[in-house]
Amino acid sequence: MSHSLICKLASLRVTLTCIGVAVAVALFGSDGDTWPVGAMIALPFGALCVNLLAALTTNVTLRASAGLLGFHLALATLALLAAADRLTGLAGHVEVTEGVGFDPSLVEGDIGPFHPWKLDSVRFVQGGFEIDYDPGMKRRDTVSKVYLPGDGQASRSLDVGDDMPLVIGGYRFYTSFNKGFAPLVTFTDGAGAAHTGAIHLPSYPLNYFKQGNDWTIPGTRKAVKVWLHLPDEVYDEEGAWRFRKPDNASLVVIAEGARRELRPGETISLSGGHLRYEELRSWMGYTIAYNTLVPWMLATVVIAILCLAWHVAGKFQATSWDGAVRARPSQTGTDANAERRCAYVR
Amino acid sequence: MTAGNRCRRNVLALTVPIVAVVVVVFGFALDRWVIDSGIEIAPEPAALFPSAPIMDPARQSDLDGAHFDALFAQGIAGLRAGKPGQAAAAFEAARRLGPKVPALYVNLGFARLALGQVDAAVESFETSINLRPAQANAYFGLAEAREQQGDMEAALGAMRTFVHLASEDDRFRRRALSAIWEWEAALGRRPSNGTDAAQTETNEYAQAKGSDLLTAELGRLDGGSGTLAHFRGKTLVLNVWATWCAPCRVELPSLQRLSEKLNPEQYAVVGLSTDEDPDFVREFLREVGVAYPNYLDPGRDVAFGILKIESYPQTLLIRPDGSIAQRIVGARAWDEPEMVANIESVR
Repeated sequence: MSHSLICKLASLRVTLTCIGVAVAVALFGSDGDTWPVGAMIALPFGALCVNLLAALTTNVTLRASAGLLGFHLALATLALLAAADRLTGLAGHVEVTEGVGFDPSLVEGDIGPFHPWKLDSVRFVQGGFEIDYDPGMKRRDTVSKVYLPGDGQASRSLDVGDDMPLVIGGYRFYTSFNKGFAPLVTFTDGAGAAHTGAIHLPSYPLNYFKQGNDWTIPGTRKAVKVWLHLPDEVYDEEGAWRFRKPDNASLVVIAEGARRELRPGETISLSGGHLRYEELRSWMGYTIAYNTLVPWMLATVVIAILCLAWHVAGKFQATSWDGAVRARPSQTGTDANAERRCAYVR
Repeated sequence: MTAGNRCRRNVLALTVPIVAVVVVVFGFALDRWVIDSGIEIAPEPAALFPSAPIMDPARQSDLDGAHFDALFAQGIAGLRAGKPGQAAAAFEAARRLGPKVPALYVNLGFARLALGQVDAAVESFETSINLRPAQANAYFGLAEAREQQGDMEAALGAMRTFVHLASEDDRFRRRALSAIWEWEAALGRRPSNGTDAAQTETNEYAQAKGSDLLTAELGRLDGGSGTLAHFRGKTLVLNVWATWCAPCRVELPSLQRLSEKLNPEQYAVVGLSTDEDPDFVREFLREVGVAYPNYLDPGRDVAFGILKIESYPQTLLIRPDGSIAQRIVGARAWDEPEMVANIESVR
């Protein structure tokens, strides 16, 4: 690599450009099908790493003390780790129905292009959950029960929450504010084949005014609308309350121009089969994070701070505090700066 | 070389491996003991375990409103900023959340058109029209796309439909009329007497549209359509609202009480919802106990075009002849005596 190219890569202009591009992508970037925003940020981060290493190679000042050198090395490492993290990370979300296993095909979000997809080996079944609200609809802790495979036929349960993630294979599952009701229905077609599904209604209580959704019966093009009729309010806007499944809710099914209201266990006839409302379940929304490099990034940040402190302490000690500032003749003046600017040694 | 310089060089040479080693060791320690480990479980390659009922979740697009709105806004911002690629990506992502929103397809169409993906743009505009035949701007986009395809007949037809559907103050109206003029000329159909056929047609439409709010076509909650014409002769309390609007929801019960207080021979309380789905509006009104008549304006053509609504909720007091007497912005306690007296003063 030629000296002049390395000098160009080491310029402050490249540094500012990298930072500017990273900020622009973060602010204005939109998700593409193959390169989400997170992955696009990796490019300026990677370039920043090259820029810092080139600057360390060409700029004597940056190597003037071990503290300053360590600081810039840590910055370069941090940029590299950040780029790698964005390329291999995952920031997604998923909804899991009570009594149903986690389905990795439902995960949506930012997935790095080099993410080692291991979600297929994640197994858990969603149990119930408890969420307490303080007056004023302030959500407190979420305690969500999940069932995990145990030895043989047994399973074991664990409580996870907003601050207590379930970690499987590097994936961290955090409960989110997103949760709601999910009526379980079974459609039995004319041939006797039964299709059971849980219809996730919009998040509750956020969308308490629209507890309805469309549902296309599996294997058919038949679309029905369902609405969860809640005779009593589940939430209390003024007082404290706990999220619960209502006891007396009924399911309104709007299909083929008719409106039918079903209690759990009731069945209606539709053209081509029967629709049975099994029961009301709930669903829990999880945010999923896969950032295995975060501890090393944190370590790098700490080292950068320590190195910078070391460097500043050295300069502090080298400073005369009786009014005059000692300068090193060999490292001052325009000529010295010009020499330092690109003192690349082959 | 002095001893000091040699010493410094040694320290510098050691800095690189020291930083590397410390990062690895410190990072490992943080990972192992400091960062919240949560409840760590080894991945399980075995088949699904049978301890709980496993069913296929028939996951429907439970329109995550906030996420959809954010993506939609991102797309609009992209279009405005002249970044059709970003806009198209945002609209595509939003489409996965809300596949039945006509406006989404219109904007996706414009983004694709700007990207030169004319066939895909046509598909988007046509999807929008299929979802909502009265989506005016979809016809404008379709006309432009058809023109680029060289199908001038189709372009002309779509642009004429736009002119029919667009509100009088639509800023694209003038462009549409110019385009119609040009395309008719290109097809050799421009009237020889110099009269702009499209303009004449438009003026007639404008007169009809501006004549009376009471004749505007509105959706009914049973899925059909109708007008407010049968309320002519009564003072109307027309409440424009939407289910997603919290203040709107707050004032609905008081509007219901107001409807029960007023003399039905002289007054009528009517709701105009700008929601999309009549079934869900009907169920919501049933849930909150609203029985007065409600209509739908999912395209906001009446709310924004005729009534010039700019915020929700807004209630218009309309005289028996159809003219607007008062415009009340924001939620009110409608059954309070002062409000009732105010309404009864409208003649």
